[in-house]
Parts: sequence; C-alpha cells; structure tokens
Amino acid sequence: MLDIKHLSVKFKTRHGMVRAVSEVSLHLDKGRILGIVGESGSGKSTVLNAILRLLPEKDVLLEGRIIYEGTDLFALSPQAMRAVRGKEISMIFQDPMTTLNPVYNIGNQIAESLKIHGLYRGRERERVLELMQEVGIPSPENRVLEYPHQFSGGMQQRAIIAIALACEPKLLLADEPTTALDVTIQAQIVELLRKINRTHHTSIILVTHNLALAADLCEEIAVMYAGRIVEKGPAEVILQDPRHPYTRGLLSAVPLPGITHGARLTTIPGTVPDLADLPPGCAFHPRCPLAGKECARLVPEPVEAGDRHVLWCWRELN
Amino acid sequence: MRAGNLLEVNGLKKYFPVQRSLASRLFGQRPGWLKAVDGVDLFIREGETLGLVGESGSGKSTLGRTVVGLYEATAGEVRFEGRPVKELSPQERKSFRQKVQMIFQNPYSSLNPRKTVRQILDVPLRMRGVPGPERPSEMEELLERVGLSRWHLNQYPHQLSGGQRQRIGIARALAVHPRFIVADEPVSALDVSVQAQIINLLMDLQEQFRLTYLFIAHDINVVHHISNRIAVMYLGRVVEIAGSEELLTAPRHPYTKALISAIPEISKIRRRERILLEGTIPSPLNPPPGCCFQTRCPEKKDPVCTQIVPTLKDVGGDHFVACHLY
Repeated sequence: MLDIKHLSVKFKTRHGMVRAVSEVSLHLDKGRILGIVGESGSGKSTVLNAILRLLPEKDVLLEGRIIYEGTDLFALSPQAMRAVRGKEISMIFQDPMTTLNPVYNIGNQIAESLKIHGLYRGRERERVLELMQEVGIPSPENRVLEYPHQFSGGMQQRAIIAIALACEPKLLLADEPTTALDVTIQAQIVELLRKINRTHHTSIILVTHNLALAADLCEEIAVMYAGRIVEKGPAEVILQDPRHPYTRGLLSAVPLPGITHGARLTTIPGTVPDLADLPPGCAFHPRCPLAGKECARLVPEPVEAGDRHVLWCWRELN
Repeated sequence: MRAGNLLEVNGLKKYFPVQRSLASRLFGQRPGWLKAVDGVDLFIREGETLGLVGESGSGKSTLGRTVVGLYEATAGEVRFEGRPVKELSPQERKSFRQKVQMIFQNPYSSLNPRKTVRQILDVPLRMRGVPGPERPSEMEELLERVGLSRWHLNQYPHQLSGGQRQRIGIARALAVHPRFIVADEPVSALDVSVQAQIINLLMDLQEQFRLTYLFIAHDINVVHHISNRIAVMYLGRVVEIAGSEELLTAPRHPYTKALISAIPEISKIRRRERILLEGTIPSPLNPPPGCCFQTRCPEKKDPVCTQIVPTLKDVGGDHFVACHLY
C-alpha cells in the first residue's frame, strides 16, 4: 500500500545542505502498524512530513519515490496532493496544545476536512458527533461547541484523532502522539489507536522515541539513527534479538523493572551527531563499541539477518 | 524525629492564590486557592533515594520546591537534620541552603545563556567561601567529577548538548558540598542514550559523596531504577509509599495499580493486565471531597470514599497506603 523507495531529504541552510534523511526505504501493507523509532535528530518525523509533502518545497530537496497505492506522491500536482491529505492519508501531531486552533470550536475543526473534501454533505454535524463518540469524548452533544482550552490534554489529543479520522483515511501517520501526555492517558490513546486499526483496518505509521511504546503497538519496527535506518524487522525480533549495536545500546539504556534495579545502566558513549557534520562511513561508528576500520570509511550495505529482518552494519557482514 | 532521617515533612501544604475576575471580586467572592500540595507527610533517610512519581498536576514539583525552600509552605513543617527549617537563624539558614540543592528539569532554561561555564560555577564556589586562587582547580575537579573537562570552562550553554548542560547543572549543585539534592525530572528532557549516562552519574555521585536524593520524575521505570523507596502522588497528596521493588510488584492503592499497569513494556512475555482509568486528574482548584482519587477509582466504595479523606496507613514491611480498602 505504501512504498518508500530511497527517500532522501536535504534542507538548505546557512551552513550548506543538511541531509536529514538518507536512503530510507520502507514498505507498509494494508492494515499493518509500522513503528519508526529513534532519538531526536534521527530524521523520523521528517520521513512522515515527506510522505505528506508538508516540508517547505523551496528549501528542501527530495530524492527517491513514495508510492501510495500505485501513485507516486512526489509526482502529484499541489491540487492532487491536497486531495490526498486528510482523505487518503492523515496525520496526528505531537503537541495537542499547538495543533488545535484556539479560536475555533472543536466541532468546526473536526468538520473542516469533511467540508474541504466534500464528504457527508448536509450530515456533517452527525458525522462529527459520531467521530467524537468513536474517539471516546464523553457527551459529544455538549462538548462539540467547546473550545480547545476547555479540553484536557488527553481530550485534545482525542479531538485531533477525530479530525484525522474524519474522512476515513486508509493511512494514519502518528508523530509522537502520546509524548506530551501522562502515562495513564498515554495508555488510553494507545488503546484507541489499536481499536481504530482493528475496526477500520487503517494502516498506521507510529513515530516515537519510546521503544516500549513501539513494542506495545507495532508489528514492525524500523530504527533510525542520524537520518538512516540502521535496522528493521518484526517487532519481536527487534526487541528481543536486536543485532545492530545501536539498537542493542538503546534497549540496554532503558531501565527495566526487575532486571536493572540499582545496577549501572549500559550507556552509549557520546551524543547524537550533528546532521550538518556527520561522521564519514557509518554515522554510528564514533559511538560504536564494535567499530572497525571499514566503519569509518564506507556507509554499510544492507544485510539480511533473518526473515524480513535487515540491518546496516559492517560488523554483521563479516 | 526518628534517628537516621535526614529530612521529614509533616502535614505540608502549599496553596497558590488564584485571582478571580474583577466582577466576582466586586460581588465579594473570596479568591480561590489552588491546592498544589495538600497535606503531605514523608521522611527521607540519610543516604537513600526517595523517588516521587505522579502525573502532571499531581504537585510533585511543588513539593520538591517547597522542601528546598523555593516556595514558602502554607502550612505544615519541613525538618532538616532534626530541626524545623522555619526556626533556623539567618546564619543557619545560609548553611541549610548550601546543604540542600536542586537539579532542574530543563537544562536549556536553568542555565544563564549569557554566562560561561566558568561564571556559572564561580558563584556557588564563592558562596562556599573558596578563595579566588583556588577556584580554577576546584572547577576542574568538579567538571571531571561530572564527566566533562577543563576545555568546557569557556563555553556558553548554547555550545553544549542537552546532556552536557545537565552535567553542568549537576556540577553547580555539587559545588557547595550539599548533603541533600532534590532532582526534579533531571532526565526527562534528554534522549534515551544520554538519559542512561546521567542516571549512572547521579548514582555514582551519591556513592562518592553519601548524598541523599529526592528524585522526582514521571517515568516510573527510571524512578524505580534509582530509588530505594517510591512515593506516589495524586492531586497534591501522597497515596502510597513503599520500597521500590515492593511498589512495582505489589502495589496496593488502586491508582498505583493503574499507573503501573499503564507503563508500556518492552518484553511482551510478562505483560500485566492493563487497568484503563477513565477520565483525567481533577483540577486542584476544585478537588473532590473525600479521597482525591474517588472520581476515577474502579474500586470506590460509597459513602466512605466520597466523604472521608484517607490517611497513610502502615500495611507492614515499610509500606504505607492512603486508601479505605486497607
């Protein structure tokens, strides 16, 4: 259903071209949930923005192709792209406080994309109430005319999900949908996303820095570092038998109840590199415990480590 | 005060006045109160780490700030080294402020952007009375302790990464030789790989300097990792305190149970039954009567839960719960 082929995104900046995403290829089948995991600056959100072409086109150089149900999204005219946004593919953003417009009531904001795409003509109000019901906003009739500031963070995020679902998109892009929320609210939103996936067979791409959250919801996981995918595969394999030194490092850096209590955590030395000044070869090599000579020279080639499990690491090749 | 306790908090309350509109004031309505901390009792033993968890709005940061004296308590007392902080003489108060330090959540906003690392570290050393000529060597030693080098002295905060800035925040707190540190979400703004470095650093420093920590965070896995005991806060009250292993494996309070079951787990093998709570935390402007958790509690019993405020009860094994079920 969605095929991302060799996607690269370069931003024009004062310091020259900065490569935020390099050679990313991903594949998503209908009704599946894919997780993209990475730290800040890994390029995970940029991939989502590139799919919907939300990046400012005059400052950005896109390479590669994104094929959605047979159409190349990069080849579409701006008008044709507008017909895709919200209707075929829609997005849930991280911060509910800044996503909603504070001067329009919730009902208007949910109805907006229905009006733009000309769906449910004359029945917009019913559809809005139905959506609010579906995402779990209690007593929709009373709340439909309320404004965002009258909603709690969790309820705002539900409203945003209702906006995203309004036109029954086939693909939902969720960029850190629970990061701004408390754990108990996070659990509610995760259950809601799972329910949407099951009842409507909506495919979901979840971008998060939280490995455990990805483990909870996703069937497949791609791990990104400094703009590249370093490892991808079925969620169980990535979490239980990771092969890339970065994935392993990330997993062991998370405290786990019952396992690491009071002990020193394994750390990855150093910090995430500056995208404007990436190390040559494998971008992870200055922090990698296994790095050798070839790692500093050449970008690794993909290695099949198992069924649908691929990683980019020179050490694994030898 | 029991022997071995470095700090005790008794019946601590911190209310913030809320300005009502002019019209309502004209009609004689009294100003409202936001009850951020509403009657907290706890103690921290010398050399231990007490973790404090809770959702946003539960009052955990306000509690931390009131304990170090950044906020004045509305009621109740804080006792440090056996003496009520309120009764300290000005001289003793100065020494209290050196013994008690704070590490803040956001390393991007808690360092002055116009000062170099050298200037940032100079102030606490001067406060401790370190003479000028000795300060450079003290600074180098401090930086080394927190995993940085002399080379960083002339840098400004914007030239440092998030993890490095948090290390400066820690060095600044250590500079005055504190006994007790309140760390308010010290790793939440950091990436996972850097978070682990800072957690390790805090644990090493605790061992080296026999520090006592109040570690505030919303990530229960992190808090569990570093703490000896954990206190759970909800709507300005502590609802449960227990040893950190006990709290995670055998929580008693219905809120703690739900909170722990909501943490996503990496291993899918031993997944807990998830308890989904309805709704959200009530506003501290208008807390419900009786138990603070009664509006969302799946095990609520009328009328006791809706009328009587439960107090912390000892359920054995250093485990305290504020719930009418026990």
